[in-house]
Amino acid sequence: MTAVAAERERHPENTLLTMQIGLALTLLLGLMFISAGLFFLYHFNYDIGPYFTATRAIHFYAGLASIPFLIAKYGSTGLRFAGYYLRVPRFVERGPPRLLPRVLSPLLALDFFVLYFSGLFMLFHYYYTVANIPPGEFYPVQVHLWASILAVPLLAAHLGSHLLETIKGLLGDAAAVRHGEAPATPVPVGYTRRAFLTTVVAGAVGLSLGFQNTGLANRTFGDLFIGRIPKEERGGPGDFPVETLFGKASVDRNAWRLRIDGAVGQEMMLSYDDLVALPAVTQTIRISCVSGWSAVPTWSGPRVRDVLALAGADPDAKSVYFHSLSNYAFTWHIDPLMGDDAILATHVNGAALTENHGFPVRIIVPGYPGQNMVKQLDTMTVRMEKQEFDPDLSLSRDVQI
Amino acid sequence: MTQRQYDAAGMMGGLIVAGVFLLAVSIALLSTEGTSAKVLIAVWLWAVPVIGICTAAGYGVAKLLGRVRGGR
Repeated sequence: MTAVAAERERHPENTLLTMQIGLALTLLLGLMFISAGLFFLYHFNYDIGPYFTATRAIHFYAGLASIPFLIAKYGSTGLRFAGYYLRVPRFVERGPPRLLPRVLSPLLALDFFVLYFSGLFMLFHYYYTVANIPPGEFYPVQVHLWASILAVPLLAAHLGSHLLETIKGLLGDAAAVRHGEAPATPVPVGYTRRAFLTTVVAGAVGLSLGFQNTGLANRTFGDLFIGRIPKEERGGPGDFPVETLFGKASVDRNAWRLRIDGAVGQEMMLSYDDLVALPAVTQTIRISCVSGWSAVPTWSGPRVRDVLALAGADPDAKSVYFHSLSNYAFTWHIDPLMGDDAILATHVNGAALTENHGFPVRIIVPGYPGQNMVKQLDTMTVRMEKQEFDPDLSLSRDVQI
Repeated sequence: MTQRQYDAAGMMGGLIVAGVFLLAVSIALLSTEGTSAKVLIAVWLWAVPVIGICTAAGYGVAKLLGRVRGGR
């Protein structure tokens, strides 16, 4: 028996390829589902903020890296699927798939298409994710979440029916090689498969790095990719990405006031000059965006706790609602705002903020997603109610995650 | 015991460990102040990898144990 024939005998058609791709995909999906659970918790519970960045990275990198494997799995499985149902003799000879995969696999394939489509949609249009605003009748956050929830039983059934035989198949292949029953690199089938797998792996690495490498992506492909740096900011103190959910407002520096109300001794209206006259601290704080980029600018401005003290904020206050000129809002739990590093930034990298980056003032707190760092503040409302740790998945323009 | 019995016992053991772990995590999350039942969605999403890891670990341990003890 020739090497090629031996390989085909042991793994008819492309079953070995399907097994190898399936196993790699399973490992990446494991990372994605673990990070998805954490992502789900962190996204709605900013008390766990410092771990958010790592979770995002795992979810995004694993997700992007899995795409070539998923495409290869669709192709590899689809070939056998189509071959059988189009009555190609060599596929028909192997008989029909078992009942469970026959019923569930198309559902799983459809569900994963929806899952990846909604995921990629959010990656390109992340503001729909953050602000949870439906573009038309499509709700990407909810679609992604429900597709992942539905994927759990489908995936469990699929893996349950395939994983053991896959592991045995792959171990059996290795054992056969060890015992000299088959060549380690059959020619040409082995080379072809290896070349294909190498392409898939290279594609996975390239895709994840290409999308996630802010420096490369935004300079090469401009607005198409995440982490856009406006032309006017490049080379200056604001040379890092800009994300605005509700657009930016034009600000008259002399007319602008920051209102501090709610559970305070006396409502306050601070002008820009009042704010920059307050004792300022300078901190280098990383800002990380859920869309995938991060930057480490140096921010300057008064501490949040000092401004709250100035207004006589109730010491038992539980949260503060930050509202922007563009009508974006976020409610912060009080504890992170009391830290040394929580500042109302008026300057970045030594220069006054531009409107792109939040002029006249924005909140900056280390260890939390950028979506929490409201720009162009106009109101801070001190509240006695604690922000509920409740992953509210309803649609709302008022971003109080 | 045959190797097959070792394998089955190992996988079953892994499944039980996974179930206990997921139950413990659910209780811990629900016990956190201010949480709602929605946190169980996270546990649901973790179910497949946790069950997979525990079952595979149980299978691996059983395989080793079976070989050491001379299972057929």
